[in-house]
Amino acid sequence: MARKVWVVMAAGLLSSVFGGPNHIGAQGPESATAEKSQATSQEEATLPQTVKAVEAELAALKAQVQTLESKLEELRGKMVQVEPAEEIKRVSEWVCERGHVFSSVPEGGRCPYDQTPVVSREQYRKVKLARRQALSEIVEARLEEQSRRRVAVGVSATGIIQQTAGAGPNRLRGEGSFDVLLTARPAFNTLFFADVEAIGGNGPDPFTGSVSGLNADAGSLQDSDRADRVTLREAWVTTQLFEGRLTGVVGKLDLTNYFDRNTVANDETSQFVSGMFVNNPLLGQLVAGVGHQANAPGLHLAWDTFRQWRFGIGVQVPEDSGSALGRTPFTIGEIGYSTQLLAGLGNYRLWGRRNGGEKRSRAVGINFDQWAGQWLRAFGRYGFQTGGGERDRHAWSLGLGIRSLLVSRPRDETGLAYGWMRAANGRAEDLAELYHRFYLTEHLAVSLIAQYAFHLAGNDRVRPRAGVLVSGLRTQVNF
Amino acid sequence: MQTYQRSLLKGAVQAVETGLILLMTALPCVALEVNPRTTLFVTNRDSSDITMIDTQTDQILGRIPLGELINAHMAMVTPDGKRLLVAGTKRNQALLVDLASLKVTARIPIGIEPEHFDISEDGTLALMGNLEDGTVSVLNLVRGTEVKRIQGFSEPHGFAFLPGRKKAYISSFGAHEVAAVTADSLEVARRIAVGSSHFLASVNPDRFLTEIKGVANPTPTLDGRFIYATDGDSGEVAVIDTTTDEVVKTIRVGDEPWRAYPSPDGTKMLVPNNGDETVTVIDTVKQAVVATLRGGPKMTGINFDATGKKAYAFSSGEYGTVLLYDLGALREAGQKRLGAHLSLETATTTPDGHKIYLASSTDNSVYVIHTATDEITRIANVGESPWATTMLGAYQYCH
Repeated sequence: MARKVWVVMAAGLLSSVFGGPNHIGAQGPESATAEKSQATSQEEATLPQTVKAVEAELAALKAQVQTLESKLEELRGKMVQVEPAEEIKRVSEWVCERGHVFSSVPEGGRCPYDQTPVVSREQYRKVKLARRQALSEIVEARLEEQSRRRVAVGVSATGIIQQTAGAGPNRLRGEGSFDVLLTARPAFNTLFFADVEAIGGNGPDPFTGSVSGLNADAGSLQDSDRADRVTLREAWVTTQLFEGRLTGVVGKLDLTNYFDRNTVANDETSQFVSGMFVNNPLLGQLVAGVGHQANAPGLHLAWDTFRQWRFGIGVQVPEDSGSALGRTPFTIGEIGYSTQLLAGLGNYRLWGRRNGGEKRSRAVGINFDQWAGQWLRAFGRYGFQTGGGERDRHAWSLGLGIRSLLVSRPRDETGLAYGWMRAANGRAEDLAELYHRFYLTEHLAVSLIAQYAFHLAGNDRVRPRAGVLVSGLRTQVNF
Repeated sequence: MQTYQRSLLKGAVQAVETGLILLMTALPCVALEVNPRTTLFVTNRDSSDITMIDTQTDQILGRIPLGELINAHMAMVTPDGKRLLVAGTKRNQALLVDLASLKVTARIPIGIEPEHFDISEDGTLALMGNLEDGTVSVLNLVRGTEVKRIQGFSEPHGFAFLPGRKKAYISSFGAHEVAAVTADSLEVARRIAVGSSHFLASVNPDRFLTEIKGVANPTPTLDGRFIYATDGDSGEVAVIDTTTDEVVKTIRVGDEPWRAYPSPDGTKMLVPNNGDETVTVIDTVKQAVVATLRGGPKMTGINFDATGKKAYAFSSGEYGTVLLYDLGALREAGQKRLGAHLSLETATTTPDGHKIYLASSTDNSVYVIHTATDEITRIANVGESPWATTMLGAYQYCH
């Protein structure tokens, strides 16, 4: 296109310089020859200069066309919605002693004004970027920024119905728990977390005499007049230091979130419901009558090597009370090791704890979860407790987690486990559990649960039993 | 006549001025001799230019301007080392840069939002995906023209020519499939379904009405015998036999896998899973998972040292972090945090395997990982938002 323009313009220019037929036709025939001859000799004399002038004109025109082309390109690029992108960037700069700033290191590493040495530093700066952005991109970025500043709210609701059969009373029991989870970021690299919980129903434990807990989610928080109470289950702040290797948590803690963890058996709302398989029964002092580990003010420190080893210690006051702060605390430490075995990841843990309550017992335990192929995971726990005015006690459990073989249901899982423990009253308690969890949607899961207690240790109010069958249905909603 | 002469003179002066300006602009580049075998080319998205870094000294050699609002996404050196092909994403162009003159020699108008591409082994053809209009531009790199635009893709995101230019594979991120394209006819010969997300969609259609995480890349094994195509939604990797274009095996990996990266010895494929923040190691002989290692959030790439015994994954969570792996023992080998809120993009391992150059868009830097010691140094002020890196003879990827 540009070439055509030059040709047409050049032809016009040459025509005007050299003259065309119209110029000749305008004069009389007699004088035409003489004039023509004179003009020709003049033209011949000025021809080289004229050609040069034309060439210069052409070059100028060419430059103009190029400018126009680039302008056109620019306009084309700006035809769509454009808003300059704005970002805060971390930039490097070099600063002289007297404050002169350079964006690259000056020659010789010295300030060109006063020859003082320059120091490099990192600084943050808002920059406008030449980026073409769609409106949707701008809106998305703003929303993301807003969401980072807000308190995030999560909701978890679990409902469990259990029917007992076999030895002991045949009864149907329902239990439900509702948790509101709040997270916020009060400072960089720092997270605040709170869990507000309400629980209704005690499950079958009060009348079956289980000490490990047939429903680890139960433990009614209702008042005697049946009014629901809401409690603050956890409230803590966590931060990281040393490039994330050291993590510190302080506040009202559930220490089972950090110790004796297990990928197969560690969550009563989605995995095994029996307290025997949620944590080692000898891990700590359980809340009377239910499988909960007591939550209380405490501190947790963990060191992660980001290789294969992890170390953690925890300290917690013996009661959920600020007045108990001066008393001998519950202390626990754990070493974790991860490795590849059987073509899968395995996590192995060794823990030891000392109870600071009235019954000062000590216990050690091991715990593992190991992938065996793509579908199967195995887990195991063993614990030994001594002291505390009780006879020495053991507890162990073994089990499997089987991922769904159906490709259409990758999150469904089946679990099978058996566990045994010596209760504080000296009697043995052992039971097995089988569950299958279906995910109906991403946020809604239903589990069918079958538990068989070979022996239940009983307590002061309920005699020991043997052969109790419990069938259950669990629903869980998570947002 | 005087006016005419004056205008002529003015034109001449303008022409001289323009020439001088052009000359001055070009001088630094003309004076520069770039060895494409030792030069790293960094695509800066927001300054719309290419920064050249000497990998012997880690000094910035200069920058090649690509044009206003180009917002280039990735670049790649042609196999003869003479030119650089650049995807000019926001101006809908493919650009060819002559590495002798360091100037853009061709601006090829193509489809909307070109991002990723691959160049054939002989350097004559390139396939460039236009994300927004779902087309793939076939570029003749000898003539600098678009010879064909293949229709019918959904966010064409990943490209791989097989060795010998017989065939190429194109993956769609907005769908769960890979297309096999014959290099002679430049037609889609086969469409190959990847993963079983259709089952998941039947159970939970709401999820798939808002977002699809399909196949980011078709990654060939080093011998070109198989393609490893990773489907984000189903968490599966399809192993495609390139002779029959059939899925011969489907391997389940973690949640939201990104894509497969081949180790330089060809024995392993590593897949970062951003959903469960793990890295899956697949043995390419057994075509089976041999290890699942701890990863990090928002992993955008994995590079290796020369031997393939060490791997480095790049994670951009609260911190920009380099995750180290010992592939001999199949275990984690540590982490190195580069800084807070860094957005780590993609990286290039030098052909000798001694260094890895990692683009970090948030702080306009390129980080250099020295693979012998795992020491990391930084090249600051590379350009605005360095997004991708490339080097002749190095394994190339983008995100």
